[in-house]
Amino acid sequence: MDTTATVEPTETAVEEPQLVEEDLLVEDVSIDGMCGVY
Amino acid sequence: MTTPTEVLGRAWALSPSVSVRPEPFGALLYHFGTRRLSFLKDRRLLDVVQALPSSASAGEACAAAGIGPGELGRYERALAQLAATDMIQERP
Repeated sequence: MDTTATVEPTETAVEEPQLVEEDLLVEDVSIDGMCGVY
Repeated sequence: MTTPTEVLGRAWALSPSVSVRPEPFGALLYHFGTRRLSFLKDRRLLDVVQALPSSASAGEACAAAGIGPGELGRYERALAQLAATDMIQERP
């Protein structure tokens, strides 16, 4: 007698978090330590 | 740190240690003191920055550059970021 309970995989809709990407007008870059830069 | 809501009502000027290089995409700002390089990704933001010394407030500079009310938030945050990195300094 098989008493193994099988769990059917249920397909649940995974809602991806809405990524809100702000359109940034300023982008900062640090060049400290870059070769050739004094 | 200057919050975005405090930026527009104040008068600003480019820091004396900052060099501006206009580019087709906007501009490069280099701070000789902090060695920080900032990209302005909008040409109108450059117009705002260049209008700062002659404007009574950052809000006035934005208006002079043709920034509409709907876009003001983005420019406000950009100016706050420039202030936080000492690219622009408050002036009397």
